[in-house]
Amino acid sequence: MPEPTPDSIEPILHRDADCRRADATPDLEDRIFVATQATIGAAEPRPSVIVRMVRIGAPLAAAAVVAIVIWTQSSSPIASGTVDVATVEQDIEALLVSDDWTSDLDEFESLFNELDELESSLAMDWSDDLSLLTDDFAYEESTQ
Amino acid sequence: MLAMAHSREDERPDPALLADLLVRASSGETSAWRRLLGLYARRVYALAMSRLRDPEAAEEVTQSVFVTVSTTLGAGKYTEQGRFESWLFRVAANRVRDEVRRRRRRAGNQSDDALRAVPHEESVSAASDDEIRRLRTALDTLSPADREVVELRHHAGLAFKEIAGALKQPVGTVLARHHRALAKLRDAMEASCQQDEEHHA
Repeated sequence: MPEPTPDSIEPILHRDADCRRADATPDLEDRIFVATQATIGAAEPRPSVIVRMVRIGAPLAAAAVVAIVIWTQSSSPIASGTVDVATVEQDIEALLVSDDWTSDLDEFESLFNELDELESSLAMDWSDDLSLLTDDFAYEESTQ
Repeated sequence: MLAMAHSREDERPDPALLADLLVRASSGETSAWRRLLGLYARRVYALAMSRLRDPEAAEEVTQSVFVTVSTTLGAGKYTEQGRFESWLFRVAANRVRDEVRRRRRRAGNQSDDALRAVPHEESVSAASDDEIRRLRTALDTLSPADREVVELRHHAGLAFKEIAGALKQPVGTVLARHHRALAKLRDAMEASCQQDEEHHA
């Protein structure tokens, strides 16, 4: 291989950049789109949580709802709520590290129920997000 | 939607088109947001991947950057004044730096050399390309500041003016740093060639 000259460095850098871009997953833009849409669906976005969930293939609505759960953990009303936040957090962590998201539907349904209770205790209206999540459950279960 | 070999100048959108896309994306028009992702997602990914060399981490950083952009645009907190690329890649560069720092903390007392010794994820095409392999090794020899300028210029595809905006440095400083960095890369690649020739002799 001939030794590089100053003029020859830039084309190599361009080739490297093209390889880096081409190496991205083919649906990179779609995945980012889903992650950003999930953020818009959450009242107080927690991007890192949403990003992690979308990356492991969680449904859009689930990512958005979990983002809401995480958010509520840091708000003051939860301190007087009836929900055991630590339990919810553990459930979320268990789901996040799960290799097979779809096998955890029962666990997620349990989380969903806790979330429902959480919603009541905080008198918040997440009905749109919750109905989306319910639809996702129905779809997942019907296709299994 | 792969960005194949071409001049870095070709990939910069027309300023009027970009301004229009930003206005439409800010108002929630998903087609405009998708177009922005098409224009910039892989450029951010390449920047992250060049430094992190971990596809999952690079994708996570890329997603995180666009979540921030989306949130800011959606909240009406961004007004386009011809500086979108500088802003976008400043966010990206900061995220990459954060991730590098986080990895260093995790690695504890490991030296930089030990961190670099971790096997890299390389594409098949790149792995068979001696020049690219030498280049990637040479990039590791640059200081973080020099490397950042090179990666913003070539992997992110920014003009020097935008790099200056992203790093908040004078354009002259960026140009000089880039020139010096390329000279260092050339020297490192030459040394690598000579070592290989001596090894085969």
